[in-house]
Amino acid sequence: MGSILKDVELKENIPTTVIFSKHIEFLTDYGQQKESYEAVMTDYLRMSGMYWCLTALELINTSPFPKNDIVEFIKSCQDTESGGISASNDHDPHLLYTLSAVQILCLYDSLDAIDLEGVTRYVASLQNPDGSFAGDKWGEIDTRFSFCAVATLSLIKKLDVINIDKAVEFVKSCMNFDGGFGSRPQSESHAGLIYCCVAFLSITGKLDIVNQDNLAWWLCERQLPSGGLNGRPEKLPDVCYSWWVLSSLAMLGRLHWIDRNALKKYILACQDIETGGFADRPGDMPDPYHTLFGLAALSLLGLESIEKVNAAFCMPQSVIDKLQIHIQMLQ
Amino acid sequence: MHGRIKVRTTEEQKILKDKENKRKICAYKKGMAYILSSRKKDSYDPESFSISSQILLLNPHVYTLWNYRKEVILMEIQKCCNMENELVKFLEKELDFTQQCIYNSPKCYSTWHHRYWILENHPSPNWDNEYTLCLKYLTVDDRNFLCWDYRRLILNKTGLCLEKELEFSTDRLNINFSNYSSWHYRSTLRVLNADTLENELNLVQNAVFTDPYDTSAWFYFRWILNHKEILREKRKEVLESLKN
Repeated sequence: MGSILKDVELKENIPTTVIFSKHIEFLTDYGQQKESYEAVMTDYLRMSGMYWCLTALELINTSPFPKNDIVEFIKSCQDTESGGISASNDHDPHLLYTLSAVQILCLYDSLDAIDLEGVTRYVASLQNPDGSFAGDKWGEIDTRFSFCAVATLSLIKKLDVINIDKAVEFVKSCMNFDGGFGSRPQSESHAGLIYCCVAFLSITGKLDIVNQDNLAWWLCERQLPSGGLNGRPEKLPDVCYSWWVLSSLAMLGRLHWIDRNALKKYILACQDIETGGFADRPGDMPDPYHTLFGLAALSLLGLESIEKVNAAFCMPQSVIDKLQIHIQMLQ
Repeated sequence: MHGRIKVRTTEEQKILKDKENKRKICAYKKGMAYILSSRKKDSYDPESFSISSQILLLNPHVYTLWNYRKEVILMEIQKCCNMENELVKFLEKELDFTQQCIYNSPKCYSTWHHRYWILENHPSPNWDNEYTLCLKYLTVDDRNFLCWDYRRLILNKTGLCLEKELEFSTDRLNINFSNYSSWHYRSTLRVLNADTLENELNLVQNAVFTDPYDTSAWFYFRWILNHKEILREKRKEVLESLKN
């Protein structure tokens, strides 16, 4: 009945610094290979893929792609009827990709390129009477979508079009005995969904409803002997949880509850020294998703060669400052 | 990309793989184009529906294809308004299909949602069957939170027998004390009171003594110990016993 500790062992010859030039190469290649097998088969999430690549590149002060092409692509993905934005051409609008598109446009200071009233209308149309949000017109409910809704509206300065009190009430109803949050009421706590709910509360200025220390304890217990963080008890470490957990702790004012040096060592060990990019665990295949969240976590850990990141939006702090958006951070 | 180990390939293997991938890209693109053109016509084309099955079996994350299938189902519902048998047959086939997809990729949000959506539009949904299905999937992976979430939706339909659910949680814990999903589930089930606290405390104490390095039970332990009905003396006694 006893359990074996689920963790990985870091080898001797692991990278101990950020290999910036390799990451730029990796992310740039990824953006250019539109006809590769990976690119075609992940077409259903292209907008988010672009957000991961472009934000990662911005965090290391690079923007190799022509802005116009990107903005034109986003414009072509907006559905004129609903106002929502799809993952790619020939796909359907969805809240996940609407947020990714708006985030990219903020990076490029090009929000005016799309029909913002359409976006506002779309997000507002997805709120239910109980305050929750559906991901699209087919009605899947999840706290991920509550986050997408308020993040999108906050970036375009239209938060007032939804019922915030009801939205907060729904997120609050997803709080668990351990202080964490799940995808719906009574769903198990999960670091990714905790990030969504904490960032939601940070953006709406309602962080006071969380059980600060109880939740922070659960979050810091995600750290394993390897230094890496997992997303739930008794699971393997994964670089993306470095971001979901660390950003939540930052918003809760408890970043110092983590062994920063051990985590930094783990994240750096997940770099692929041959191709560039970060993987979930050392020795696995790297991808843009883990590359963004690895770099963003290193930024929260104070690595000066990486741009400062905003904990709620996972975007460069300079972009959020320019938009004059303030998020709540607990002390 | 989670848990995909990097494998070294020879130049020869790479050429073969590239060739195979090119074939797959071509088939995927052709299939998607066919489905899109038939979708625009607003009518049910069995060929197009079948191509979407082939793509989804391999890649259930292509959410737009699930949307397309929902549109087809809505058309069938309208068409079969006087022939419930025909409709049920169609929907049951679709339920079987989602089961295959869940079996291939148990952690795809879109598939679970599609299955629930079908049942919501089914004239005579068999919720009990879903309850049994969840048990089957949780036996394979007792931490799959998508399945736990689905099970909760089903229980909202069937109603919940507290004793039965408590027994279910205890059974899962007896198989594996480090099943945090089950500890969490207990926390949602029971309104703790003076009568039940003792039993819960014993169960969770037993778990942490069995395997003190397993973190799951400690969270539940802490929660129970913080309960207002636990007397100060009792709490002190339990905490003292941990020192040994």
